[in-house]
Amino acid sequence: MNQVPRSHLVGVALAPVALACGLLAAGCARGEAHAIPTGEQLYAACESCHGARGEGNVELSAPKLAGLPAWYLTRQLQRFKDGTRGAHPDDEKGLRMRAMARQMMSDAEVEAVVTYVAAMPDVDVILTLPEPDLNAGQADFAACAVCHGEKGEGNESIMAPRIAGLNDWYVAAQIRKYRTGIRGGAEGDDVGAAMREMANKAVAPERINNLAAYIQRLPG
Amino acid sequence: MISWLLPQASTFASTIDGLVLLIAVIVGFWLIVAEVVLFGFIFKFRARDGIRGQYVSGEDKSQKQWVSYPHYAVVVFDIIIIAAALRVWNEVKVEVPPADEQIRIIAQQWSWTFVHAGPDGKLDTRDDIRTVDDMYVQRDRVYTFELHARDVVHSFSVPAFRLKQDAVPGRAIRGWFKPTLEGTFDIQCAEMCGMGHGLMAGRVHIGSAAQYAAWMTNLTKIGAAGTAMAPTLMADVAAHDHAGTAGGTR
Repeated sequence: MNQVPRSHLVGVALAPVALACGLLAAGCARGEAHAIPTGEQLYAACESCHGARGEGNVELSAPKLAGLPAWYLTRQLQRFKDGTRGAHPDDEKGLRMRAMARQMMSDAEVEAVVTYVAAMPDVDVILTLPEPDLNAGQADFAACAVCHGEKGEGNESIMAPRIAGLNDWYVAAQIRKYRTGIRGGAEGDDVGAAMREMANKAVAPERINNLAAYIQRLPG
Repeated sequence: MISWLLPQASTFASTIDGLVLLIAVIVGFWLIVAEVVLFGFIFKFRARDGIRGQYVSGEDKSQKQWVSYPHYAVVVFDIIIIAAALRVWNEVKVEVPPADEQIRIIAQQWSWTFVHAGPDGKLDTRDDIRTVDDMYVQRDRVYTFELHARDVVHSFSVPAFRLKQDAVPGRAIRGWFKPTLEGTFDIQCAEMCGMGHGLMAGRVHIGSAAQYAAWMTNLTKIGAAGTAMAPTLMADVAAHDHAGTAGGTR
């Protein structure tokens, strides 16, 4: 029987050690290079529902994000993360978004993805609510315009986001959630509480779709 | 032994660990025996100068027994494992003890909703208490659960309980557990349920009777009561919360 050269045995013995060192070095290198992912990279987690251009996806109940201001996006992501929004047992879609928001691990990651989304050009969305009475919607919008502006352009100083051009189905769903406390009912959510009150006073349940359709058509 | 790695926090946890250990010992023992025999033969019949390799047809009784005896062993040990597994199945799935309390578990992408029965101990009454991702139970009480899924297949898994049960949309699946340790333990989804599957974590809080009462009182104060909203309003929101049906058309 041929003898295996001693040098080969040493090589075989050292191979696992070399492999372990290599893996360790790779891990260390990754650690050094571990920087905050770019907004585009982070948005990959959002893209499958909200679309590559932030256009939203009605089939997944994912509203459009394009056109929303950075302050509002930041605030909503933080609220989803801390459970102020999307933690009500009846908020099926909110519960889904709450889990996804946790993927933004730090404030820096939130800032990065928000900067990316806020830079997206606004996109038009399709109308989904059937035969709305836009005159009735316009009449009810008067109460909303006090905070959100005549054109739905929003007012950051009072935490009123831009609502012009939002998906009609999304606006209608949110008004219903505010009315029932599914949204805005969390402890300490003062802005939500105010919005709840407005949603209950400003529009009757049977006129919500009209208002939502009118808001979608606002120029902003 | 497994409890060194993971606490046994339910009555049947040690039974299931015993079964896992039994299987591990049987399979591990025979794995070692088989490998020793394999490498022993490799060494014994290694290539030697001047000796030609033999073709073994495996027809002699002395040769066949190296195959037939292990087969008999597999059958015998399979029967032992099946008998032990049936005993565990009987304890966990068949002999369900009388419930002290009920709890409803609703899985959805990617959260858990728990409906606690509240002070009256019955579900679907006004004092029900709902929580998201946090389940509260009392030590040494038997809980029967009713497991639902809102959207896709999930699996309710509490490793410390050694409990894992699939949740299937459209079905109410029942089971039980009796917590035996106080503390907080992980709940996880054990069935791939979409891109947020890994984020679907929850916690089970096990406390004494006094702790449990305090939790329920606190949860009631902060408005976790399940019937806070009128059923008609809930139905209205639910009907419109699906974009595809918002208003009926797109």
